[in-house]
Amino acid sequence: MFKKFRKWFIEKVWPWLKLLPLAILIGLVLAFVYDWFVLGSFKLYIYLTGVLISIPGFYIAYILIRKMKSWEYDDPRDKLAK
Amino acid sequence: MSQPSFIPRRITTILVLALTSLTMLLSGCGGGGDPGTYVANRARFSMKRWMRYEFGRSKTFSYGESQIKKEYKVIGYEPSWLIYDSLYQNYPYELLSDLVIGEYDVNPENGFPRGDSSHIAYKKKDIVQLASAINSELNILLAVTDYADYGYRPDFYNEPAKNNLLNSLDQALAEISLYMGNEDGRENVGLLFDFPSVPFKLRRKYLEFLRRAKKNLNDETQGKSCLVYVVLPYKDPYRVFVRDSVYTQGLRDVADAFILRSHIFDDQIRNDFGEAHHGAMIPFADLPQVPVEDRGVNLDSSIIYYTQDAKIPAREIVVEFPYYGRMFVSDSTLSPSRPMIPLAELMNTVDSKRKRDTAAFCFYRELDTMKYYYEDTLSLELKYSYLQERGLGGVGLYGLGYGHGMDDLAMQDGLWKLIAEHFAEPAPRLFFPAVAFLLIFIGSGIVLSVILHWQVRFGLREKRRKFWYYLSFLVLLSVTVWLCVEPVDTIPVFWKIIAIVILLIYPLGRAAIKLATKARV
Repeated sequence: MFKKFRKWFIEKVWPWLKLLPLAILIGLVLAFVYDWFVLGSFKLYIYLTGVLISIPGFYIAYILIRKMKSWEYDDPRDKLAK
Repeated sequence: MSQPSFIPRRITTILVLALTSLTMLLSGCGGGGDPGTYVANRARFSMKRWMRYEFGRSKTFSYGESQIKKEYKVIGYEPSWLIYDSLYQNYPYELLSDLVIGEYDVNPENGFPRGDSSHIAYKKKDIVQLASAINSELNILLAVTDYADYGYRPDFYNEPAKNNLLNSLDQALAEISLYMGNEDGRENVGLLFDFPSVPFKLRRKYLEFLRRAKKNLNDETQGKSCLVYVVLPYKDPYRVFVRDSVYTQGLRDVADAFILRSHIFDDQIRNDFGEAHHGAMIPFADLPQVPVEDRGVNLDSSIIYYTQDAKIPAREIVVEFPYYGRMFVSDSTLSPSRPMIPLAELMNTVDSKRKRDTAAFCFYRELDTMKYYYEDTLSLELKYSYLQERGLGGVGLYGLGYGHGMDDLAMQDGLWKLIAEHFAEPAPRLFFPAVAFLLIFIGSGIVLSVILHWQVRFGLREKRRKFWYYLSFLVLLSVTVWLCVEPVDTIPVFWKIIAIVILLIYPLGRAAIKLATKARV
């Protein structure tokens, strides 16, 4: 049971989960930039909001990058196979 | 061997738990207190308030960290007896720029404190630790007074008294700074000098004393700093501040701010403004009963006198308002009065309709022959707006504890809401910047896909129409981001929503054109 779960976790979840620190880091950096240039108040909730938005935003961008490839490029091998 | 259940036990447990939780949230299903409904209602209410604020429908919303604007001072004055009552636990310290904690009542003979408790209230209670933990930028001051010598004063302190006083104050400030957690140096502490009756002939000695205090208590080499605030007399019949410009300039050099009281603690107000004037508040305008020689003494004329005649910058003057009320018995020849009635007591116990006092622009409530005068949210709203129009530096609130603990929450919260609306930094609106933030990620996704994958570049080079589509989408996205980032006051919510809707429809439009082309072929 555990082995099955481990395998599923490593194959399906881990590739996405390992990107989470990067998403959080990007959120913190962008919140800092916004705080520095626009607000200048350095409040905790600005950073919290930044991180909360950057997590879905980062995954949307990540999925979009991968999807664009399949949307905009028709592989000739696929055509031949058809 | 037991019969296998139709639904596994684990799923049954989860279902039961889920249904129990659901009953907590559904109205009418809960127990007596119904905490689920309470939490849900509060959440709904907060959400509604937040959205109203984000869409520009309401002026204020606090994320719990509002702060006074840099150009204003909001000085809360908590007398020592209120500190001992421990009323300070729940004050919104983030809405104060300065807090006065107790008073050092000077014995003019030796410079030591006259009482044994008022100047050490901050040691006995944790007001300094609590206030500075909530608002790290708060300045904490100690009031220096000698009200007991109101009136006659042969000289302004002898030399040993001055030395003792300055040493004691130095020590007190060091302690306050330590309580605030300043380990590297003494900062964000100061003194409020409240000497109500310095005679004309002693003014230069008073100024010298203030200069000496400022010099001794500020020492950069030892990391010592000390703010100096000075209370201005509410009237200046001899026009000292105009006649002696050296004195005025000297005070300006010493003081970081001036406090002008709009209220008087004792019965002096009746001597100055006549028997008909009962409240603790100085009139806004002249009354016919006021003696001719005192005409023109009112808050408006005092402010004009100090700012225009004495040329003290308006930004350096802070007007103090009371959070206490005052009671007078109207039918007695002795005219007994009771000063400093907590607003909480007045509002909770005196059950009668409020009436307007035309002279002081405050309110009073009548109970038999007693009249209770006080400032409420309406009169303070008017006065705060007036101060802002005059370009003054902020407000003082005397007796924070007196305005605490009212049953009428509209009044209780209203006093602080007024401060937030007039003097605090509005919370940033985050909804539309958050949308912009999300859109930036989408734009980055498109751009990065072009940079990272040759297939995408190849696809776009082959089909120029696609290239133009993505380029126009990115331009539209940039415009929407710009519209969302701009404040609601600059770009109305309507145009922000229109831009977002157009951006969302744009890809659908492309799909529709594609379908139409295919159908034609």
